[in-house]
Amino acid sequence: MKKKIIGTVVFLALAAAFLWKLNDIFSLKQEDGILPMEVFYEQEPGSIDVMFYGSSHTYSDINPAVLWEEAGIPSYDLAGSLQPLWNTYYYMKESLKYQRPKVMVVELVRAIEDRDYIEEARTVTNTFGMKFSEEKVENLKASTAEENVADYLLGYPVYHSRYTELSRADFADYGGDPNGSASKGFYPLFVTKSFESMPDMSQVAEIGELSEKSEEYLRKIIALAKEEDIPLVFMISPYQGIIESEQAVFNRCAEIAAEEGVPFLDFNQMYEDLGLDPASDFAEASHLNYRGSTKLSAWLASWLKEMYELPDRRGGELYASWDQNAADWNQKYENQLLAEEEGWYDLLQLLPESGDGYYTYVISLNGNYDNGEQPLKETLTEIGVPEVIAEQGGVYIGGADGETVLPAGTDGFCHLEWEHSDLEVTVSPGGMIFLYEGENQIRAADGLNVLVYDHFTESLVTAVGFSAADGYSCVR
Amino acid sequence: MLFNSLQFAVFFPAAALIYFVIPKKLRCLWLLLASYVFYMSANPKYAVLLLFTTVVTYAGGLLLGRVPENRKKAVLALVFAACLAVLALFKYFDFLLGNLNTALGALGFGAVSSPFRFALPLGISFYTFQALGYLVDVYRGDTEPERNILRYGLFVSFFPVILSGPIERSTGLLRQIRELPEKALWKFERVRDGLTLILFGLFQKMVIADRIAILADQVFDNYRMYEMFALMTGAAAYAIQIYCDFTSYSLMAFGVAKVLDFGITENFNTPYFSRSMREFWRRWHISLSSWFRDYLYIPLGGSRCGKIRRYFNLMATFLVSGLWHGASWSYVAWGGLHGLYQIIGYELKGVKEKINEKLHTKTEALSYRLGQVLVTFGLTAFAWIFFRSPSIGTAFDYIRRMVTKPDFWSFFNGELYNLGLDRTEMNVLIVSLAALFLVELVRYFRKQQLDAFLAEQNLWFRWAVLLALIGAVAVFGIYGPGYDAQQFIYFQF
Repeated sequence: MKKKIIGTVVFLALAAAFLWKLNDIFSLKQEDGILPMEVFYEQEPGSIDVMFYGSSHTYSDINPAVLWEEAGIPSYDLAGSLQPLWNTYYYMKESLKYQRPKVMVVELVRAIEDRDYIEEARTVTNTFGMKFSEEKVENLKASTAEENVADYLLGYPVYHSRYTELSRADFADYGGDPNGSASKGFYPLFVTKSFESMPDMSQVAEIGELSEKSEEYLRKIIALAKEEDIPLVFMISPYQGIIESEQAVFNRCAEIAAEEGVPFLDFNQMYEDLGLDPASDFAEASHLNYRGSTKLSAWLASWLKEMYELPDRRGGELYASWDQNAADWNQKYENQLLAEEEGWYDLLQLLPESGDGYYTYVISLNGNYDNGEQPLKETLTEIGVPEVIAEQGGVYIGGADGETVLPAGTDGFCHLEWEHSDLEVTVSPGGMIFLYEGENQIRAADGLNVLVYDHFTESLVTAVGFSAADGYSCVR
Repeated sequence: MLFNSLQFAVFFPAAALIYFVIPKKLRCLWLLLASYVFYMSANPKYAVLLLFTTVVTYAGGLLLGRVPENRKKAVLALVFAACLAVLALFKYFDFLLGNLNTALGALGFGAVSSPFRFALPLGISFYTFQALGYLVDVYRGDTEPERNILRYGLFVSFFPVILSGPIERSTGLLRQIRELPEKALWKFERVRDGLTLILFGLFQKMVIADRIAILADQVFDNYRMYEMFALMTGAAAYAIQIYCDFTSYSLMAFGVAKVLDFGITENFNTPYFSRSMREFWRRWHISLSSWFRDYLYIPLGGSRCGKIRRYFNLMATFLVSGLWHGASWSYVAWGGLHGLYQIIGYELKGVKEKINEKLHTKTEALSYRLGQVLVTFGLTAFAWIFFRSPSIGTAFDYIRRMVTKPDFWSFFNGELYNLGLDRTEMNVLIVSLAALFLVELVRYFRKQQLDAFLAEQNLWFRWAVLLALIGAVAVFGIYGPGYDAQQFIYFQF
């Protein structure tokens, strides 16, 4: 009998461990909604002074790294895409169990939500990051039909069918970026869509209506802040796609805010204060890009500091992760500048001075790389590429992984293995190949090629070619 | 509640644990209570019908034990009429009314509208037949009338079998209920084996049946989009779906009963390995086939009578069996087709033997036997088309397309690999079917269920199989929100 009991216990333990691992692999690791909530739990208790809540307009438009660098405000974006106010309310309740912010800012674009339940995928986004708690149960009850609550609470029944979409990240220990624990919920958009002007909503005086459920939770949010005695601020992020009926709903929000004495910042009416440039500061119709978000965040930093007399926390013991976040952001910002650069000369000039020592760069001169029109060789030697390469072509690898020189016309090979990826550089009399994650990154068969890898963000920053035959025009 | 639901995952361990620890005297009462909780979890109202059938057949049984011989038939007829009236009202009323209206329409009269709408009470065909079987057994003197209403109530409502069978007999389940107070319940191996069967049942239901159902539904619901081979694939898929669906439920019922130390009928015995239609009916839904054999076919005269009479008996039994499965002419057609298969089988027997003799066919050769298995499967799958189609007309249309529109290219253009399931899903299905095939081979050749086979193997192999099944159900099982749980097909009957 003893043997049987031991056998049963061992088997059950094995089965449990197996299911635990499966749960780990299949669990959703998306940066939208879920990771920011999970990472929130890792923040130093009592360290956050400003909490931002809301939808994607929060996590794409408000950059805590900028608030930190501008004013030493430790802040956090706790948001999920299309987040309805009932999810926001429970995110707030949950967060107040761990942090005691001096101000809570709620971005209210989704006050326009008029459905009682939003689509399942978004409900997952806006609930699954939460730990098991009364708030999570309440959040689910508000978000989905009664019969789904148990499955959502378990989680696994919802995501087990992800076997068709598993990726490397699902098997890694941590699903986010390597500095994710410090990213403070911000999810920058690095694309740009140009608009000619800003939509003018200043003439919309109509007062619309919120759906019954949205208004109920808006009022609950206000009540929660009062109960907790924490100053509350409402804001509407600036966006190009706004229409009059939405502005009418925001007008109603403003009315309620005025009744309740809550400051209301409608940035669709405050473009000029922010200094937004419609040509360069939007990612698309709904969100600011990284440039736009920097402007909005800087404005918020100085406004919040002034209004609520927030202390400058820089240098404080609890705040190392905000320094780390700022460093992470700066690195990403520099990476972006490098990735956007389309001139060969400027790119080469940027290389030595960017990346804070974290870059490995591969420079090659392929085929008939010299059209004799531009000072290619001189520029290369200036930034430290050996003369043998500048003169006869080949590959130069420099930066964080040390120097490797593979002159053209000979057989040469270099394999660099990194945390999550690797690069194989092969030089032979027939030509050369940069194999990054199985894909050749040579862009210009005759000309200059540059590949930059950043060890800080563990990502490929750029792989770009400049074709000699076309006057060194950029090839991506 | 379904066996593959969260509620059951809570209900069953709780019910079983309490059953193991309570005093012996209370076991019957406890199981009865648990059975009613189980049955009422879907719709409490229909417990009234269950109670009605229980009380009427219970009283009928007692009465049969008391009335003189010449009155017994009348008592039996009365109780049959009462129980079948309930069944007819709840299951066949709309069907009968529909047919009446068609007839009235043809005669130029206006239609009669239905005075009420009922949802079909779960398991009504199963427990009604189980209770009626008991009554006939009492009538024939095969079993004593049960005087204890709790015991009898448990016999009719026993939760492992109430929703979808097997249809148990007084000589089996009722006897075991009578022996309940004497049983030594807890035995490690038995509980382990029962749980193993439940696990394999879950695999068959959630990984195979509910997955292949997507393919079958795609083809049957859009059959006008498809031609010969896709339609054949659809029909074969449905044949596998209904088998896995039903057999998985029977297997889980068997496993659940085994944990509680009840032996119930093995309802399926590798039916798709049958070499003839007669053999198929000895291996498919055994509890129902034997019910019809013992309580309908044999009383009608069975096969010990003239040829015409025998064929009539066969046909009548299969038509009633068709109607038992559902209130629709397409079920009747399905039953009729099976009756026809039997009659043609008898008629062709002599001819077939003569041809085989002339051609010196080696009838025990593997190839010949395999051929028989394939032909039998083909005939069965063909008949299922009527079963699955919403009407006889649709079934004929399906068959017409299937036989008149050859589409050889569908083997090459990937169409057969794209019938409602994508490539990954199809691969999961194929691997799962291969696993099922191996288990069926063991069952066929070694006459062992999975639990008995695994018990003989080494520990590492047993554990590897169980963990693989747990993993497969957890990952590849079709469940969770967004997924409209495939009801067990047989609940509707």
